Amino acid sequence: MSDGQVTLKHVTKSFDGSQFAVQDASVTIEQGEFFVLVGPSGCGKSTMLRMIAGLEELTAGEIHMHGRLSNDLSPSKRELSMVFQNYALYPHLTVEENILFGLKVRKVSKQEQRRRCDEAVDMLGMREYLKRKPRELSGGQRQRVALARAVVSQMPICLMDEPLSNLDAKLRAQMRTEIRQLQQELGITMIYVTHDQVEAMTMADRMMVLRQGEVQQVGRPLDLYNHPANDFVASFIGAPPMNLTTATVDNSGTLHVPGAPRPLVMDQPLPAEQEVQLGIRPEHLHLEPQEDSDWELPVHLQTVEVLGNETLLTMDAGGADWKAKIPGQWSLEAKRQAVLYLNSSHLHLFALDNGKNIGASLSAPVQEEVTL
Amino acid sequence: MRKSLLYTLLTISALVMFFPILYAFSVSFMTSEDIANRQIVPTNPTLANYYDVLQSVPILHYLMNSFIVASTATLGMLIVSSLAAFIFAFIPFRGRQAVFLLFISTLLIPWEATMIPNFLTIQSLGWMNNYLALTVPFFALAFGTFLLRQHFKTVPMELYEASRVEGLSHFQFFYKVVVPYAKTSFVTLGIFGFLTTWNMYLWPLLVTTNDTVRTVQIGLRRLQADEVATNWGLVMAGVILVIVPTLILLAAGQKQLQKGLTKGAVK
Repeated sequence: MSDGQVTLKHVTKSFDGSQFAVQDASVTIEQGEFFVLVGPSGCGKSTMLRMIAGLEELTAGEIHMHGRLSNDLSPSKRELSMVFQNYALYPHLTVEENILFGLKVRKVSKQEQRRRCDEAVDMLGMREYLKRKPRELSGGQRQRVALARAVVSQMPICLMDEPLSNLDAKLRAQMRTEIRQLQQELGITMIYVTHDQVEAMTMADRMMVLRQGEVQQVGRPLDLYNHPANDFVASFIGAPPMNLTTATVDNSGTLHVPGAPRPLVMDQPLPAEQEVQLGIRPEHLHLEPQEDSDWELPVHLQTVEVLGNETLLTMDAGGADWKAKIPGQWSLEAKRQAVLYLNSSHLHLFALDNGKNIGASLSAPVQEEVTL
Repeated sequence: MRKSLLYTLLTISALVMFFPILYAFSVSFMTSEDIANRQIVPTNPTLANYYDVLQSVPILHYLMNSFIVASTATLGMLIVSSLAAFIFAFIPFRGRQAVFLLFISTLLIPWEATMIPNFLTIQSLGWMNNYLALTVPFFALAFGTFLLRQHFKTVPMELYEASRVEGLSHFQFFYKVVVPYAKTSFVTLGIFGFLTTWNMYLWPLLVTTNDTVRTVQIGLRRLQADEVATNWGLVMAGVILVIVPTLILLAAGQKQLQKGLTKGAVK
């Protein structure tokens, strides 16, 4: 049973023949999966979605939908529905007519139209404005109409292109939950494009991070968060982003971090005299030694922002700008020296040239010879 | 104070603008003596002029012809211009921009300059004294195509894409989405087209040699030329009869026309 499955094989798109909008992307999106394409603007995520929709032709590669090669299939033959960023509601039609428009074109029977419309309207709670025109609706209501249109189509795949970016923050959080619930209720495959990593993290079963047309990593949100494949994913996923700084490997294979009193030891040897990037999440930094703290780093505090439940610190750590997120309310003085405590197993190592995660784990041996 | 001054000025200028029509209206009810005495209002209003017009020339026949010609030309123009505009706005093809520019550049050529070749074409097609000669040459209108294309261009691309996902053909998208979307432009162009063809004089005169398909504007000319001393009361009665349909059309379409014109101005 491969209804609702989408497989990309080495999909490549170039608009001008010299630069790639999407380069060699391969992935299989399973039936019923909530799959998020995420990346900064211009990374090719929308282009990829449009290729899946059939609105954009492939330069190379294959798209299989429902188990069949679909490269040359027109959008309407691909059995999918699509929700656009600006909702794409027909301005001259009422909400109800907008919802039923696609069904009329597909010559669905009147009874069936009625039934599906009622179902979608109840699901999305929009009965009171069925007879209004789109211009009389608020952003959130328009969004619901666009969703209802996708729901009544009963297609096994739904594509969404940044559907929440025109809404305010509060409504966005609410719609996020609603869309996720809707997808689970209907059991459809959802392919969702966003530039917002929070949306990706909270909604996705699996996500794909893109950068300049290249796939950076595909996986479950927490896997990407805990084991980023490279420094881009590490700094793109998570807010505030992962802190990075440059460190040097010496002849004996230990790692020297600028400003740190003690070096770190790697469990796998790296070529000597090499520079690498060291990364750590802001929430893994502490101002006081924790039970599992085994390494410390002196920093210079720049600013302190107390948010109520947590405190955000920005600091200068050996020349790099770092951020720390510490639970609780800390009324600290800024512009002074401080020491950060952390557990070295939370550290990530990335190659300096291509940013790839080296996959080495680090430890901080207690150095007795220091007391010589 | 300022407002009353403004309205006084507006009223005066409206009277000046309307004077010819008002005077024609007045004259159409005058007797020959009144006209000779340069009366402003008829001393002895009479419908004789209207009666005479209907007697002396087949004015109703002319009006009918005009109506058929103007309606057909308007309808044809709307259909041809909108289809062309749709292609120029939505269907990409190689050299589209060049073809469009060529299309638009015909606006630079005065109608009179193309009159002789058009006449020869009509003659060789054997369309003399035929409604075809009066309507078909006006179907493809660069101005109309341009006006509609500009409005079609404001249709969000997402609507086009959404309709493709929903399985609409190009033509379904055209008449189910684009036409309702650009309704005001259609009304504007329709009124413009109707008035233009209604008021044509030279071309109908060229391609007709008898009364079968002649339009009312030529009929008016006939009222004037028949006698040595023109009966102006008769002519003005004819003029009023000719103006009425256009006035009705304008009054009916005014709201839409305004919407259409200002819409273009804002975007």
